[in-house]
Amino acid sequence: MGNQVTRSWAGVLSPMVGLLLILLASFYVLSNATENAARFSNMYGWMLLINLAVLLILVGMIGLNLFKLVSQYRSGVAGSRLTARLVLVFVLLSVIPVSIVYYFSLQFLQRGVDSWFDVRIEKSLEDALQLSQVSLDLQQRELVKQISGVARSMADVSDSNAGLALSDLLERTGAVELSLLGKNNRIIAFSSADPGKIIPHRSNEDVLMQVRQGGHYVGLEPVKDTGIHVRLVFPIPPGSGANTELRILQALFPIDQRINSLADSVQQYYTVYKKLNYLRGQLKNSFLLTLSMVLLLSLFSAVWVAFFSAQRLMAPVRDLAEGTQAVADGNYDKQLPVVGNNELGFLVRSFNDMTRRIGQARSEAQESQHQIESQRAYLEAILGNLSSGVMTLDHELFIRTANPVAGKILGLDFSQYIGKPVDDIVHAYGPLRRFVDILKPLSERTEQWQEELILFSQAGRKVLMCRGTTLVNEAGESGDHVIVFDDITELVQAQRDAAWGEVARRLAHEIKNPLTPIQLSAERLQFKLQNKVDEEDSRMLSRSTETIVNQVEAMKEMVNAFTDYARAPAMDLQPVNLNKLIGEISDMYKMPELKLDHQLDSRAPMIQADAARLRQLLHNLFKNALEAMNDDPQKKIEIMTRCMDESGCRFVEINIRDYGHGFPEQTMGHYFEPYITTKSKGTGLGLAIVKKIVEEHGGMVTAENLPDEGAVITIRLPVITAMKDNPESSKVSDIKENS
Amino acid sequence: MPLPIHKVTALALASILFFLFLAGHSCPLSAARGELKVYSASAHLNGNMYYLDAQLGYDLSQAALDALDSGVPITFELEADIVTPRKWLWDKVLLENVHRYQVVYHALTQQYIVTNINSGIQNTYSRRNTALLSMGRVNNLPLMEKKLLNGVEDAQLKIRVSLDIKELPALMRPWAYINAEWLLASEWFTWEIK
Repeated sequence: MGNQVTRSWAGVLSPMVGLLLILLASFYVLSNATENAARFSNMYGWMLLINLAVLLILVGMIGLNLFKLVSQYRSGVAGSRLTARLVLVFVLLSVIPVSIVYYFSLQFLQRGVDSWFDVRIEKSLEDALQLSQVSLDLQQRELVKQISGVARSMADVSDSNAGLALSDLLERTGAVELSLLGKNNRIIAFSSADPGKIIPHRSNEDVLMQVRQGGHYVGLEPVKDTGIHVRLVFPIPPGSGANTELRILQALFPIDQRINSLADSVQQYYTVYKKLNYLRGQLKNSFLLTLSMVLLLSLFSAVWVAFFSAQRLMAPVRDLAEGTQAVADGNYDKQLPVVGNNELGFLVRSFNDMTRRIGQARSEAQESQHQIESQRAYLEAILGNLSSGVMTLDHELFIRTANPVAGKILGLDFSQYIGKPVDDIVHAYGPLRRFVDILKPLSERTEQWQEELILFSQAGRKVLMCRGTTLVNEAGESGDHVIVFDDITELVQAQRDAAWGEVARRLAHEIKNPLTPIQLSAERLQFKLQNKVDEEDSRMLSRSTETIVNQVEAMKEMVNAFTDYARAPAMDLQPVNLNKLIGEISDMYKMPELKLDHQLDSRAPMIQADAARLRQLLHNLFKNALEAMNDDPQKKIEIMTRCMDESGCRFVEINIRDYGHGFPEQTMGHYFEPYITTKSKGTGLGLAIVKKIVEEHGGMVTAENLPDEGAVITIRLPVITAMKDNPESSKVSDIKENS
Repeated sequence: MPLPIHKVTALALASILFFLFLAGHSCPLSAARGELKVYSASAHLNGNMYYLDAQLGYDLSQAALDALDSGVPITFELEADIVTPRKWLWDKVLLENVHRYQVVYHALTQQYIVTNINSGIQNTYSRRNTALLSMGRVNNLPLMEKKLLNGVEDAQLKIRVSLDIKELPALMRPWAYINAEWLLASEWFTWEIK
């Protein structure tokens, strides 16, 4: 991390240092441009070009940064507004002082440069130049006088002698060069103080033209490497003899060495001053240009640094904003780059610590949740594989959970009722009313409870063993309720069957076997003693043995009945038309003193039942009703069937009502238990067999005394098959006979 | 509503270009801007050497004349190339000749000194026009040896004269590069060497 920061800073500082060096170089050139022009003459243009290039680069970078900032500002990127403010402040802080310095620098430059050029200095330089010229002019005049005589003396010198004459004149006059030109400026003769020189310094065509037209020429001429000379050009008119053409004498005289040196100095400084004066505008412009370049470089560098600093300063803040947003979106793995050892770095480190801890906490929470889910799944698997139904209710009796077996036992899809009040299942499924009724008091009790419950639903009669308790939380407050219930229908039935089977087996074994010897002994007593006793004793013997035989018969019947009850052969389920079966049985009990009132529901469907057992059931009920009205001269039995559809449960109900004395109060609640009877001749198994047959068909039987007279036995048999309405029911439905 | 950034940039660039255009065309009269011309040029063979004869016109701009009279040396460059033209490519250069002349005003003697920098020969003129005219007359300037053109049938002489800004004082150069008064150069003049 530290290396990254160092590299980042190095990457940023390098161009900044480069810019600073360029700025310093610009300042150096600026301060030295006028003092040592030769040294910087080549560098000046390059420096301007480099500065211009750097300026363009800076403008591009600033433009790019500005464009990015504006885009981010418009998009509402985190930190962009603060960055914009910082940039504005930085720019203002740099622009205002730099502008002030620039303004006063310009003023200083203008006045400073102008102050270099004083009119008096210029005038004195011009005067010095003129003085030099006047001084030289005097020399020229003297030379003109001297050479004009010489030129006249050359008129009679022939071309062939001209060379000697010129050499002679060179020595006499002190000239450095003399030459004689003929027609077409042809050199006739030439003499020079420098023996190595073979070609004269020629006058230009204009001068020669002027001389040929009759005048003469005198003038100063700077000669390369030897200083200022006086050039004299005189015409030599044709003389006597062969000299018939105009010739020209050309002379070059040096001037006094000291005067030459002084004049050259004056010329040099005058030229420099004149040149500088001419370049004053350019000098100002150059200063202005350089200063402007430096200013713009400084300004743009400052603006760029402002952008850079603001962005660098805001980067951690932006990172923090984005990190916070990421954390808000649930990304707890977000780690921000640490930006150093300042306060922002501390903030970033704190943020990283926070996200790390949140991440760890989330991992732990996920782990815990995973464990909880595993345990929950494990618990659900256990509950799902339990044979018991388990459900939980909250303290307001809203269903929280229920295992699949609970739904299976109650015939209910619990998934629709999770989170709903337990009452809702009654609204949707009426037969569960009793089940819900035992749950309602749970809100007031906390101790463990257990209750046996009989439900009658479409699936038939069910005996449930319900146990429950209230969970107590850590604070000791009662909370949810757990209810565990088992379908013990088959268990109860099996226990009962086993108990009565044992009774029947013992009866058969212990009682039935001695009955035959008793009966035979009684008959033998009567046979042996009948003729040996007197008539009165014989009648008593006869009555006693008859009584013994009858009672033994009765006991045999009772034992047979128990055997039949306990035997319980396999059910032979067939579609049975209940109304028709009732009609058949009713026909067997037709008698004058009995009135049978049928109210049979024509819509009653066929049911799956063992017809023989139902026949036995009906016989038992008829017998029971008749026995209840044994003392009445006029008997009446009402038989009613109806098809009921209660809370989605479809069943057939049979009501058999008599108008007898009703069930005795002491047998209340035990009507259907074996051996419960108040009749002198009854075995006590009639209603027990009825109940057994009903339960074998998955039905339910109840008995009650009616308030006015008699009792009614109600049997409900479930319509187990999906059989349609009885096709013959129309015939039976019309049966409504009074007999 | 502020202008978009790209519009501001385009406006700034247009302003800079316009400023440069004005700076380069600050003098409205074309005559005052000066002109360099090659009126004629030819090469003649004398012995084994080709010599250049040319007539050049040095019509200096006012800025250049002012600079010259203020003692600023003005340097001219005479380029004389021998080339053979090619159909699809640029001309093949056989020889490049560059002759440089400098004219400067000598205030004390009130003479204009013209110096052939290549040869070192200098001439003085009391009038500026005479100096420029004499500089425009090029006679018998050695060009090349005859053997250079052996086997070459379509050689051409290309000549051009221009003001050498690089030789101006450093302070003048930046402005001279963007000022038409200082950007003086003739067109290329071509002459077929028979």
